[in-house]
Amino acid sequence: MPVIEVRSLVKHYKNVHALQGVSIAVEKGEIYGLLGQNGAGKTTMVKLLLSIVKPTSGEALLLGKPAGDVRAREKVGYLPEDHRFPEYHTGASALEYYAALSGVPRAERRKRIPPMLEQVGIADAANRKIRTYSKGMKQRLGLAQAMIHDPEVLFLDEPTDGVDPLGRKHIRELLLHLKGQGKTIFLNSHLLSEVEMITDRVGILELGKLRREDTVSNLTVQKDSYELKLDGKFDALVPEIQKRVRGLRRIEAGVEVDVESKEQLNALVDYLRSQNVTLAGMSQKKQTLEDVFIETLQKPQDGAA
Amino acid sequence: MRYLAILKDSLVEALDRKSLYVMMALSGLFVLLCASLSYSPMDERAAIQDMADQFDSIVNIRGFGITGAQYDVRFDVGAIRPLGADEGRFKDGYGFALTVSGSADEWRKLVRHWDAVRRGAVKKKDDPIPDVDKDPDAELQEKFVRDRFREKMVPTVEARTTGDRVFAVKMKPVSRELLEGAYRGHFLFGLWSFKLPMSVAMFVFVLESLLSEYLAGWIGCGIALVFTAGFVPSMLQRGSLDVLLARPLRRWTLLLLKYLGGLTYATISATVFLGGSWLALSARSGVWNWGYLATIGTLVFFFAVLYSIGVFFAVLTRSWLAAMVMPVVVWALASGVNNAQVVLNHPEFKAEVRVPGIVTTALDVVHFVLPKPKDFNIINQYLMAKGSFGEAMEGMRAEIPEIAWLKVVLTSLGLIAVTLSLSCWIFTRRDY
Repeated sequence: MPVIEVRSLVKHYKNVHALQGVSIAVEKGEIYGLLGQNGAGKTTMVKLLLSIVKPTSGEALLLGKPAGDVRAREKVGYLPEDHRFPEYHTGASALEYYAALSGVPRAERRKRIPPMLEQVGIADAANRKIRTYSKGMKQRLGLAQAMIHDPEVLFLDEPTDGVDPLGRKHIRELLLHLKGQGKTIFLNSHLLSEVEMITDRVGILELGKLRREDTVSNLTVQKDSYELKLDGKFDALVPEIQKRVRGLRRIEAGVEVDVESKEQLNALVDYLRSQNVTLAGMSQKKQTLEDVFIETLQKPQDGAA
Repeated sequence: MRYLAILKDSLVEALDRKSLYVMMALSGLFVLLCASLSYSPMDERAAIQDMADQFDSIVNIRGFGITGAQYDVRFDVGAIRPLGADEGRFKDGYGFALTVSGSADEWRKLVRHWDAVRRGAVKKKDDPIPDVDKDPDAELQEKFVRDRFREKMVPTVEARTTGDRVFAVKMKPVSRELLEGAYRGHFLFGLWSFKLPMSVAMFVFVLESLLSEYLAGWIGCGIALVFTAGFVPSMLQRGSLDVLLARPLRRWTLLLLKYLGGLTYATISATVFLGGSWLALSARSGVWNWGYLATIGTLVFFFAVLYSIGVFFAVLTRSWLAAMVMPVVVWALASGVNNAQVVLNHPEFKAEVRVPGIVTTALDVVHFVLPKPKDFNIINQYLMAKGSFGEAMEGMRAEIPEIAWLKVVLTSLGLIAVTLSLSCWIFTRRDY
């Protein structure tokens, strides 16, 4: 049973169609990344799942319960994008407050808060008022409040926003650690390189519609392009190679070729061997997630003019 | 646990804004001023003479407005002696002779005027005094002497005519503190001394009335509205609310608990101010008026009515300014309506001015719906007059206008229920 499931979800705000029939299912233990430009509907999707906004139509289930059900939120942690924690609290007292609201018993709160602050790297500032925190510290506190009640599902909207590179790496490691514990993580992010590093699957939203959804490896692989690393003198063979493939680009220590089929690739390899060129390595060429994202958004939508 | 967490959060917010400290500091200052008051006993004969010195005046507050007159008559207290055992001097009361001097004509007018006012025969300034030319009989003269002492909160008085305008009086005050003029007051720990124009009990009562009605009821309530106005709007801020709404809490619970947080703040402030001043005034005077303490309840109740309006506008607009200003606007409007309604319903006013029925009906309807500041003040006066003065305050209670307590309480509860239900309904349905 999926931990997060939305079916044909539609949300209209007056004249804005924020979501137009989106369906997504996320399994337990997955890290799912939702990508999209500003205004694509990513935050609306999370807010609908947490019942912060109400759907126009469609269904949203969280841990098998309707999204509006209070019990569904018992095992959910959320870090909003533009969070604003009450500045009259200290880091520790804010965690105490949020943990109590999530139903963590007093004794358990006392036990959990210091290591949690340690884990997100703000233990030294635990007793300082939040108004003295930097943006990065507030972001770390945001992560801590989302995790303090040991939720099964985490919704993180731009979790590394405002965090320095070292801190980002730390957060990535933390998320992978949580995944290792069997937590499900739903991630909204603009930082595609980070999403690529940690997510299992991604969905690309555009203007409220889910344009693509697949595993990161499936999305980034380029089926008909290969990198061939070649030993020996092959420069003279380049014009001949060019005749045997659809496209060719010189790279350091080899060539990058676009082929029509695997047979064409095999024929090329046979030709190179026949010319005494040693094949030092061959790999299917991959795109970055950013390339995939841009490519997806540049393609016209179904039914678009 | 979740509920306590939200209440505690409101308290942390109030402490951070220093507003609770400001309230506590102001309350502490007033409590200190109350504690700086002290009283020293005066000679009993002088005290009784002080009371009798005021018998030459008639103040008529039974009509519409205050009227009165002063007559050229003197009252002399003589041959004063304690009644019964000497110890606990006021325990058994005093016997003395009261001699009236001045013209017989003035004495007659004074007694007749007093009698007319007592019977409600004179209401306006120019109303003629019935039987003003007829000499009062001995019984009426004795009644005059007896009741004038009773008006001074001396419940047990006997007066017997022993000669022409000479009376043998026996009186037994409930306590020395209730005897007018029996003490001298000292303020600021003795820096400034003054002659108490009334009994210690009445002085404490008047002070407590001022503190309850004006300082706590108007200024304190206003400050509390300003200081608590931000509680709900700060919760509703984008980013802050998202984190709360993702918690396993129903929205209406969240809002009601924030409301209770504001009430807790007001209750703490009112308890410190009124409880502290009650303790200081009572300990220094020996007059323990429990009714004053009970006004904490009515003040918090009235605040609860206004605060529910603030919460409604906070949810509607998410604006701190609207949450602060709107209850004050409604309060001002309600005061105007409540006062107008009291005036229009006054029998004297009704007798003099013919107001169209539609106006009184409209005012009655608006009064029914809006908060009722004037009525709450009247309830406070009742509670305070009931206090611990007992029999001695009977006269005072009679002067407090009659109001329908249950109607005030139920319509106020209804207003709270309606505004909070509407607030919860909007808060539950709205997208954030």
